[in-house]
Amino acid sequence: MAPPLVAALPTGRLLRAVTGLLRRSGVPLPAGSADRRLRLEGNGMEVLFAKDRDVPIYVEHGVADLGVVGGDILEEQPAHIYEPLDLGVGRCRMVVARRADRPLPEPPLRVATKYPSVAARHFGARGVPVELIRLAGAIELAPAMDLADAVVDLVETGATLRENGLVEEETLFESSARVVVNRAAFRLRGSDLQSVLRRLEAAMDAA
Amino acid sequence: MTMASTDSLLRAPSGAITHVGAAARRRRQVEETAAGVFRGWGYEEILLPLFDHAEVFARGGGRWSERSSYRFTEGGDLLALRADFTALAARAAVTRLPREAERLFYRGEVVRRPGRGLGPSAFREVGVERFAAGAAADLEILMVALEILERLGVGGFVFTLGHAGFPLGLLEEALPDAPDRAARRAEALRGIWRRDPSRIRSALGAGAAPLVQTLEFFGGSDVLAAAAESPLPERAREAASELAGIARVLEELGLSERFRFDLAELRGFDYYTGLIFEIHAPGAGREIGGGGRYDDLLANFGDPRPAVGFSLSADGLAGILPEPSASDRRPVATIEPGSDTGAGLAARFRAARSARRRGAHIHFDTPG
Repeated sequence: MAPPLVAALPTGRLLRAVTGLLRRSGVPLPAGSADRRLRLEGNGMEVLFAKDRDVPIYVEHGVADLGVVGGDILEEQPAHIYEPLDLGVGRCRMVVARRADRPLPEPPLRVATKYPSVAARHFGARGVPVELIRLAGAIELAPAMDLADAVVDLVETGATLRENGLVEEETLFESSARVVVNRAAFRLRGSDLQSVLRRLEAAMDAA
Repeated sequence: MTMASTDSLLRAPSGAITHVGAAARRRRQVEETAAGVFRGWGYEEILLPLFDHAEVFARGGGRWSERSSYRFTEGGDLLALRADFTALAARAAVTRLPREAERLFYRGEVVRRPGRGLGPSAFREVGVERFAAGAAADLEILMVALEILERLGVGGFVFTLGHAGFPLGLLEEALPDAPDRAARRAEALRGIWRRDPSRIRSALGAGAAPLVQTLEFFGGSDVLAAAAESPLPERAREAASELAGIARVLEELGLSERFRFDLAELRGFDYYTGLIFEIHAPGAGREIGGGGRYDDLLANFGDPRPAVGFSLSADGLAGILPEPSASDRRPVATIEPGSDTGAGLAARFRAARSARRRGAHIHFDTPG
């Protein structure tokens, strides 16, 4: 009998939307929930719950055959993996935002972000010199406290930006949850993976 | 000893990895098995330099990012540590070797900066370059790679075959004649590499359909027939027909089970011109080998000659080799401890040499 397919799911903001879609799709999933446990196995499937930024790493190394991760993570840290399906859930935008009470100053800009590669590519392509300040979270704080002139961050509704006195300057790209697949598994477990992808597509069409 | 010197003796720079014991033996087993098979098929070993002008690697095509090589200057020249065998072999074939040298093999390490600053920076590879055109040369290197995997006893491996002319032929046809053509082409290529239909659609708009459909053309040789049913530009049609020819020979040889087809395969590069293949095996999360035809490569070094080749990852294969069976192990003769006088030592070494002449491995037991 074939070993179970291993899927890496992201903890955090995408998990609820993704597990909802998975359950509607009829993809066989192990019973139980991820309150404490990081691995669940059953029904021919093993599910790992990983930090979203780690999902592409598990999949690239083949520890997981497939995974779900936001497009923002794939832009920030490209991995040598396949990205065959955009699930369309967890939609967000990557934006440049600044303080509402003053325009962007002349460059060089001080830019706070959790996405230094995305930010460096964006400003680099425009020839705008920037000093990148890498933060781990609560990015909106940086302009308010005058640590940075602007932020590059992922926003869902924009409410958090507004509440912290920021306005969007520019949208870099749209991002949503994507299915990613290990390149070896794509070859060796092709029909199992195709069946998961077909079911997810059907569930998306039905939604 | 000062703290600082102790520190640099104990710490290895990121990516510098030492192998010993089974990890070292298995890597050598791959290299030695491969070398035996290469020689058996008439390939000549080429020993290539550990460094060369950085430009040689840049001319060698897009197998790796130029930024990922370790570069340094010497006497005003920009040099790079060996990041790729193919570029060095191609340059040697053009500038150093007689044209009759049509079959070369290499083995050793390539060095690249670890991605994201992590992971290993040296990769052990074995591979061949075959300077010839045609299906016979393509099939020959497939048979050489197959024999190595068979001899190593790797289980469940699968070759996936594609042809650069198929996706690239469709791509050329789908690209609008617009100023942003190059940017669209790059974006569409990323879409093909990542099997991401949405990226292909955003790059090509209304013309994306044939390439998006190509992502579905993988499986047995029947996908080649399915692909040939749709209207195709000349280059894609020829590609599908070349692959179909290879598929028929593999079928005749009774090897169909080991070979699959994937018309979207480009291996993440755009320097292949014909056959492309990748080899996967259970237990290895990444490809254990791959290669293809790059007929434009030697022209970069001044002599337009066709070429096809592949490499296998000795590191990747080392991780999935079967355990050696008891019959593979040689007998071990233990040379018992004795007196350390001249005569005693002479007697023990006489026994050791005699056991070695019989081909036994010896364990020279030293007391304390």
